[in-house]
This record gives sequence, C-alpha cells and structure tokens, in this order.
Amino acid sequence: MGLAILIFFAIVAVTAPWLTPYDPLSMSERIAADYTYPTWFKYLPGNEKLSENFQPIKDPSFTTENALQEWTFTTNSSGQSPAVRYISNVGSPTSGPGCVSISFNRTQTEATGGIKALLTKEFYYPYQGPPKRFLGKIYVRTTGVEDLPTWGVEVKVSIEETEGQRYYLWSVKQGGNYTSEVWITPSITGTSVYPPLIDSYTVDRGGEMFSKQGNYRYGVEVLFTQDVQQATVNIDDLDIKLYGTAFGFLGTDDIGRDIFTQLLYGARISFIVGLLAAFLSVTIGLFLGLFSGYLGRIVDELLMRFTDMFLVLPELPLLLVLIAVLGPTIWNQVITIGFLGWMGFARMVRSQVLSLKERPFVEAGKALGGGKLHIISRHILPNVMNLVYVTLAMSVPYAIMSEAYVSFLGLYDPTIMTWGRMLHEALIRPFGVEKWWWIVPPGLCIAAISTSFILIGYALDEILNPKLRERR
Amino acid sequence: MGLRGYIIKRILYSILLVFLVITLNFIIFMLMPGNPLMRLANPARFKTTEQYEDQLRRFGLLDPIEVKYAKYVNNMLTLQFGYSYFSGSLISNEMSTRLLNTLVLSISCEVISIIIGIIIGVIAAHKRGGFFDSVSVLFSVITNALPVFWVGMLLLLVFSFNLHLFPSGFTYPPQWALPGRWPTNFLVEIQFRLWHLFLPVTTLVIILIGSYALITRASMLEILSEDYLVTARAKGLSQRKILFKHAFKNASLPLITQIAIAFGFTLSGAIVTETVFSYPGLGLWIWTAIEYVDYPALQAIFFIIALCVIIANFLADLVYGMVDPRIKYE
Repeated sequence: MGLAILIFFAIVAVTAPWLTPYDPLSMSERIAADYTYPTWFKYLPGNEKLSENFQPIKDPSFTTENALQEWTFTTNSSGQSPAVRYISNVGSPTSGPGCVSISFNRTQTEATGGIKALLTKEFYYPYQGPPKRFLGKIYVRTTGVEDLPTWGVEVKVSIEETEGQRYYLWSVKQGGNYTSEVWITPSITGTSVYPPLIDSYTVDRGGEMFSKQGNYRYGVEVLFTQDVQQATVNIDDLDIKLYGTAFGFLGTDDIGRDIFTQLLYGARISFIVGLLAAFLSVTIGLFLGLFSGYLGRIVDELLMRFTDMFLVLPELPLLLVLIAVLGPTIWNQVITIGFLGWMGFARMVRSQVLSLKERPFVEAGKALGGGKLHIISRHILPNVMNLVYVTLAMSVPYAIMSEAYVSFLGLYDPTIMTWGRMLHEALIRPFGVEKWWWIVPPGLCIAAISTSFILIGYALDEILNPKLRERR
Repeated sequence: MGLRGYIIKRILYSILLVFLVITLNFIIFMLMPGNPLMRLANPARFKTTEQYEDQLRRFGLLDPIEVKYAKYVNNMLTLQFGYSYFSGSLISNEMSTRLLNTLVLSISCEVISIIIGIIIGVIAAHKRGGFFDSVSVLFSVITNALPVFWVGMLLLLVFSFNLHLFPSGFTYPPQWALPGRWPTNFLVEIQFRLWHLFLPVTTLVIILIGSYALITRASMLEILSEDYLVTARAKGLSQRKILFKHAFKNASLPLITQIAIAFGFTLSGAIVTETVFSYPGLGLWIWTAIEYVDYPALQAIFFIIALCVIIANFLADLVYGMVDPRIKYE
C-alpha cells in the first residue's frame, strides 16, 4: 500500500514534463485566464455555461501564403482596388516575415469618397457561456499617407455577432500628424509582462461579447478617406484567443497558471527535499551516535549534551529563523532541515552501540588488534544498518512536512513551485481559500506521500527487526 | 540525591539552555548577510552622515561585537528585546499581547486534545481490536500525517466561507477596534473571543488528538494485562472505575513526557495555525517579521518560544519526578 503510493508519486515526479505541457511558474505566455474552474466541472449540473480555451485563428502570424485562405475580404468599392495579397518578406517585429497587405490605388476604382475594406474571419463559438477573458492582437503599418494634411487611413479591430451587433475593440488612425510608416500595436498600460494586446478586461463592454453559442466574425476594418490616392496597409499577427472559464484538470490560480502542473512538479521537490534532507540527518545522526556510543566518556558526555540542547530547541521557529537568514533557496532548505533532524536518531544509535560494544564479537575484534575505526566500521556499523534504513524511511515524511511548513510560511525558493508554496499563495491571494480545487490537492499529496513513507518505515521495521513482531 | 537536588539540577540545566539559546540566536543573526536596516537607516534618506550614524547608533549597529553581545543578552534577559527594524518601536510592547494570544491558543488546544485523546485511547484499548479501536487508530495515523495549515484552510473554507458559521480570523470582531465600539459587557466579549478562537483550536486539536490517543492506547494495553486489574474486576468494580482510576493512573506516565515533548510541537502548530486564521499571536508575527526582514523581532520571537519550550520541559521533568516515586534522581 505505502509502496504503491510511493511508486505512483515517484513516477509522477520523474515524468512531470511529459504529463503536462506547461511550465509551473512561467509567466511569459498566458495559457489560461485567472481563477478558472477545472474542466470536468462542465459535466456537473448547473455548470453548462463554462467555456474552455478557444483559438479560432490557425496561423495568426501569416507564416505561409495559405494563411490568407481562412480570411474573407470584402469591400464597398466596385473596382479592382483595394486588393489584398500575401507578402512573404515583410513582417511584424515579433513574428518574423510574412504578413497581409491591403493596397489601395484610387485610379483603379470607380467609387469616390471613403472606401472601406474588411478582412474578417467567421468562426463558430461552441460554448454556451462567455469566456473569462479574451486577448486580441494586431500589428499594423501603413505606408503612403504620411504627406497628407490629416489622417488618411483608419484601422479598426472588431467583433461582429452574426445577428448584427458589432463591437469595436481598438482603432488607430494613420497619416498626417498621426504616426505611420512604423508597426503599430495596441498596448495596455501597466501590463508589461505580456506582449501588447487588446484585453477584454480593458475594452469597453468586453464582458458582454461571446455571451452565447453561435457564429462570430473577427477582423479588421480599414477605411481609406477621400484624400487618399495611394496607400498600403500591412497587417500581421491578427489574432484573438478566448480564454475559457474552465481549464485543465484543476483549473488555474489567480494569475492563470495551471494548478495541475504545479501539483505534478511539486512532487519532484518533495522527493528531492525529503530524500536529501533525510539522508543528511540520518548520516549526521549515525556518525554522532556511533562515535558517542563507542568512544564513551568525555566524547559521549559532550555529544549527548549537545544533542539534548538541540532536542529542546523548538524546531520550526529555528528552521524559519535559519532559512530567513541564509536565504530561501531549496538547498538551504535541504541543509537546514537535514541539520535539525538528527537528534533522536543519534540517541537511538548510541544506545544500540552501547549494547553492541559489550558483545563477544566486538571483544574478539579488539583482541585480534582491530583499531577503533576498524571495529566501528566493520563490526558495529553493519549491526545498526537496520536502524538506518527504518529511520531513513521515517525521516522523509518529517523532512517533506518541514519543507511544506517553511514554504507555507513564505520562505520558499522563488524559482520553484512546491506544495507548501501553492497553499501559501492560495492563502494570501484574494478569494484563494475559496477555491477548493486549489487548496485540497496539495494537502492531500503531502499527506499521502508522508503516510506512504511512514507505512514503508513500519514495514521495513517489521522485516528487518523480526524481534519486534511478537510485540505488535 | 533527593527530590530537591533533582530540582536544583534541572533548574541549573534549564538556565544553561537559556544561555545557549541566547548565544545561538546571537550567532545566527551575526552571520546574516546584507544590510537589513535599509528601511529605517537607508543612507539615501538622511541629509547628513551624522543623522545616518545616529540612526545606526540607535539600533546599536556601530558597537563592537562584545558590546553588542552584552547589550543583546541584557535585552533578552530583561525581556526588552530592543527596537523593531520595521516599525522602529519597542518589541516588548507588542510581545505581551502576542504571547498571551499564542499561549491561550496553544494551552487550550493542549488541554482539550489531551482530554479527548485520553478518553479515545482508553476506550480503544479497552475494546481492543474492535470497530472503535481500528477507526481511532486509523484516524490517529492519518491526522498525524496531515499538515496543520492545510486542515486549518479546509476548516476555513467549509465553516467560514461556505457555511458562514465562524469568523475567518482575528481574536475579536475587527469593528471593535473603532472608537466607542468595544463591548461594555464582559460576558459578550468573552463569548465573541471564544467564537473567534473556535476554528484555530479545532484545527490544532484535530492534529494533536491522534498522538495522545495512540500513546494512551499503547500504555493502557501494557497495563490492562496486569494482575491487579484482574483483582479489581473480581472485586466487582465498575468498568469505568477500573479503566480510569486503576489502569489509567499507571498508564499516564509516558503521557507526561509526551505532553512536554508535544508542547514544542503545539507551539509550532500554533504558529502555522495563526497565519491561516490571521490570529495575532507570535506565529503571525513571525510571518510579518519574515516578510519585512525584521531580524530583532524574529530574534525575540524565537527566544520567547524557546523559553516557553524550556519551561515546559522543566515542568514536565518536575511533574514526572513527583508523580513517579520510582524515578531515580540521577
């Protein structure tokens, strides 16, 4: 039983990168909206309106000529102009070469006055409820209008419901006093983490859009005023991503990171910290116990007083103080947890050694001229190894728990996501505690992994120390 | 050596420990890197170097190390603790209320969980192998492996955010702090305070019951097969009297040691529980002190907690020496 849980977590820890495609901490690219529900909530009654991530546009950065095929081009002009075509050698600064060009030449068209051109994509939005958030993206560059007395081209990004309701998300005027000739993109003040975007949180009436299932048109409207004789509008990275209200196995945290991913990667840290710290403390305890027990007298007295002192110190506060001073990195956690967990084991080894050193085989070893080191390493050490294995298994949960406590209290390594840190963040973020799919799994994992090590410890104890069997 | 000698020896040993803790505490914070006083003594914020040095002197940062140590030991022993790097005020002002809150929390948890744990343990041992026994053992093993703060968060989620039965934090309703809102009726105050104490106490009790129940059960099982209990049964004493008066009295010795050992654990648990419930005790203080890199406060808190644990250990030794006449005062 214990072994099964342990093997399960070990596999999870090792295979985490293959089990989940995301990075537990990455902020560079948004993968989902904040505080989304787990996807399987959709199948619960009353949650039919949950939506998932939806990305209608396949090749937003126009990397190949085929990208243009998913778009529809319409215009109110009756001539050959404006016309749309694909350009392979020009592109926005972020996505490399490849973009769309809408060129206008007044001599080729019969219409007078302002001319409109529309480049849209129609898609079917399959969810009954609105997305949590959507982000649109566009890069625009207009050439040929800088000499006009005032603006000559206006580019608007819009969403149109098929029933007719149209929302304008963003617009820019170019030519004259307005900037042209360079790539222009919508920017949101204050959110420098993400690339410049059209954000439903900041757009007027952003929450009303995509409120039901149906067909929607997303695209740009380009208006050439009557003053314009000749102009070219390059458009690139024309994209919209709808971030649903449900995502992944366990939803997302307050800044849109996948909780399931964090959980998987947390298993790794628990194993690393648990095993290394337990190994460290058992090694220290073993050596101190061996020498204290075998050498006896003044060494024994000194070492045992030292041990007593450490036993009395309150462990968690000391741990916190030490890590706060040393700096919260994972190696400091391992070292401090390891250095604070050896006392009980040292005493156990010592008492075992005290009885072992009176045994005849030790005496025989001495009589044959064995040195102290030789006797300790060859005769006594093998006899306490049983204790070592059992204590090793029993110290791992202690170390895992200590790590969780320390991380929970905020002394986590900022580059690593652990279960304790997940709970820390859930506690300090607004409404975090109310999201049970965020706070329940890490705690369960800590409990399960600790219990499995304890059960293995018991099992080892019974196998290695057959004398105990009668007592139980 | 008699009882008196034993007590004196324990007192001397405890005092030695206190000094060791003080020194260790000093060494740890001597080794810390960087300038923690950037907030209160940032050179850029002072017009003249004299002002800057005045500020440093106020915090005793310009003294040579032996003077620092002497001042520091004096601070700790007089329970003054110096000035906070964060607020600049005396730490001792805040210490008393914080310490009181933490002690109220941990001692009430300790008492409640000992009582419940003993009752569960005794009954489980009595009905050994029965349904109650296996359920309580399973419960104890599972709760032992649960992180305290997680249990607290679950209780918070269920009873505070979903059912709205209990407040989510603090020791009294926050609006009391406004002028003129403090309740005049003492009973009302007590009632509200208990109401706020309920969830943190429950959290810790859930975690603590298990170990007490297991220890009571184990030592009861050893005692229950003794001959004198057969005699008691033969005399026709009631089951309850046999269990609690005859058997438990002798089985309680290991429990006393466990209580002393667990007190440190309870304090640690209280620290973590406090942060979950924004309960203004030492634990919440550690949390904020860590956040604001307030080393003197951390030093003081650590010292006080260590002091509490040392005192608890001393009391346990004392009680152990008095309760068990067989003990040899070595």
